[in-house]
Amino acid sequence: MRVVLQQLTKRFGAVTAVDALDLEIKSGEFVGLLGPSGCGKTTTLLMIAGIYRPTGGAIVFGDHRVEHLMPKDRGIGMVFQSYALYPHMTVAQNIGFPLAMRRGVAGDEITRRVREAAALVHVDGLLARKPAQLSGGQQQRVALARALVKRPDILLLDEPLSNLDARLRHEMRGEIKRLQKEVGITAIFVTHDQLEALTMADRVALMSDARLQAYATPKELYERPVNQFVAEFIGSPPMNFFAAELGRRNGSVLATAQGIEIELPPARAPRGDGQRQATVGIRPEHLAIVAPGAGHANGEIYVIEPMGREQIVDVQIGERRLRAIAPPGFSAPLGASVGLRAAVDQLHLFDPAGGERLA
Amino acid sequence: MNSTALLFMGPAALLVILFFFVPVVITLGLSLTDAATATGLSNWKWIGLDNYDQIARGSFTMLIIRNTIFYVLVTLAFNVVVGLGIALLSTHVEAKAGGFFRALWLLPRISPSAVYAIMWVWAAAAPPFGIMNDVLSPVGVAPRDWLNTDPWVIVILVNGFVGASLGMLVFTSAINSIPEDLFRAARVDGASAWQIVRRITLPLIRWPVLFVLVYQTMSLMASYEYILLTTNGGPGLYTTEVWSLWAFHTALSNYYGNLEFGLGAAMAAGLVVIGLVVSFTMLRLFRFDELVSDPRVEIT
Ligand SMILES: Nc1ncnc2c1ncn2[C@@H]1O[C@H](COP(=O)(O)OP(=O)(O)OP(=O)(O)O)[C@@H](O)[C@H]1O
Ligand SMILES: [Mg+2]
Repeated sequence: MRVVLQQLTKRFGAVTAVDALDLEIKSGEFVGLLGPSGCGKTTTLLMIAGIYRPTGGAIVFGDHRVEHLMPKDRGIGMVFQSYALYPHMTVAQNIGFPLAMRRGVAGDEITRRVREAAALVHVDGLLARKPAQLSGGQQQRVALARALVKRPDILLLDEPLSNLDARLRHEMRGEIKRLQKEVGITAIFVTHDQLEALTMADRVALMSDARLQAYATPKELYERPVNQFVAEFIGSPPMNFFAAELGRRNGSVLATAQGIEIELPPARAPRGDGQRQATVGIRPEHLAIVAPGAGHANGEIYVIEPMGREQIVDVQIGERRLRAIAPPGFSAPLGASVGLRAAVDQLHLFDPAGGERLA
Repeated sequence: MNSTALLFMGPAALLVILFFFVPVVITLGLSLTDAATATGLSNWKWIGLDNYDQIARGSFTMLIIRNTIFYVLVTLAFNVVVGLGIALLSTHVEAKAGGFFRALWLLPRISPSAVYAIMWVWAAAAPPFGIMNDVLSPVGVAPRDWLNTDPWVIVILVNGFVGASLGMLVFTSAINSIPEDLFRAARVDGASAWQIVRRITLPLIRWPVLFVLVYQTMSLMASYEYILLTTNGGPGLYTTEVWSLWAFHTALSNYYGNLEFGLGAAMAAGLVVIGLVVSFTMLRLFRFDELVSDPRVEIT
């Protein structure tokens, strides 16, 4: 089912937790709500669920406004960050709870559907256990089964993976994504982990300070961030930024900073002549280490962090440090002189005043 | 056990021995004597189980047992039901209003017992006085001299309000310690307010409820001060006399002037035994061992 948020706002006293949020989620789409801690993700989810009443704005499911509906009448299933399994009930009772709360669902139908939901997330062997006897990953699956058992139209997940260890998180990432497509359900999940959002979601809504910063596919967010916040937030290790002067030489635009000089390709240069300053952004994976003098900048190796598949190399250029990625075979003593070459068609220019994308 | 453990347990153990164990032994010893004002401290003698025999044959014993059971059960029901009701309301309504209600309900507990009891005596005064008459007559309850016509009502209300405030405190903090997400999950799962209370809240506060039940039973059986200060067991002969008050009257304060310490001690000893039996039965009934799950951390 389609979900539309219009100018959705929530205030707690003087604090504005969500500020005029506009978002449209297509039927069957998997959308990630991404943002730093405290930016209003959980609040948004709880308003969609009907736990919080919005201070203003509209929530539309399909073609109907639902702000006045109780959570139980919204056709949603929800997985909480804490999983919120009922500790005094068995796994089977937990999964069956939403059905037991409904009038007119027969006992054997509950049993059948509990089995079905449990099998979907591979916890059918654990039905007799209490939540305290489950691992974190198993609890998470039980919570998913409980959210899905009543066949909701919309699935809401609040930081579904944050309590799992790195390996299990990776496994469940794939599992949830597969499950969402398999069931074909419209789903919204909250996360503060960009990797999770980028790998799982069809589209990512990036929030900061109660406001929506960007809403785009992971590819767009990565390749063409709309402002400096988005550019900084998406990508790991984060994008390098430096302030540069814009000038012209031989008809092309030149970005210069202390020890750096880059000729911008036409596609990456701001239009018109007005812009004299820019914040230039370049991702570490688009900076290559070359022989001194052979790149756009020269500096010394500050530190090398081997990551297995690649190495993160910090290079000191004057007072500034830029981060580059080198292949695993790269090796150089600290303090060695190196050059840095930027993949110029992967440069991003932002307005130093507002942070908006220039080109 | 090593000496360090003894050192740490020493002070607490000493207190327990001094203020619990020793008095129990003295009471038990005293219950086997005929000590009374009449015998003084020099003329008493050991009389074996005669005191217990006398209690068993006493013509008022059955009446007082019935009074005690009635008093404990009805007051207990009032305590727990009202305490739980207020706790549920004040945690499920807005937090600020909840705090106000809780403060209001704590008043009886923080006011001195004597003041509180005397306020009730005044409130229950005979017409044309008494707040109870003022409040209840508009709703069709005929004005009356409550302490004489309906002494049990007053006895139960006086004790009930104090007990309810304890229950309310314990239940409120127990409910507040249930993670908010459980209630949210239950709402998303379609549970009504009543179903949430019935299926989530109550099962999760079973242990505090049990604690309050046992604790209140014990303290109701042992306490008599509010009855003493309101009806003093009356009106008439033993109308609202309960076991502990009977022991007090016999051993420490009676009309005849002959204070029978030995007999009173036997009554008190009986109460201790009954108290133990009742609380163990309750713990069994609620399957205490099931509530106490194995520790997560294993200590070798
Ligand atoms: N019940 C509440 N009362 C008052 N302020 C609240 C309440 N809930 C949230 N806030 C505030 O609203 C803002 C957004 O909170 P929210 O829980 O939505 O953040 P979040 O994005 O989910 O963060 P996290 O990643 O840490 O979970 C925060 O500043 C928070 O302090
Ligand atoms: Mg949150």
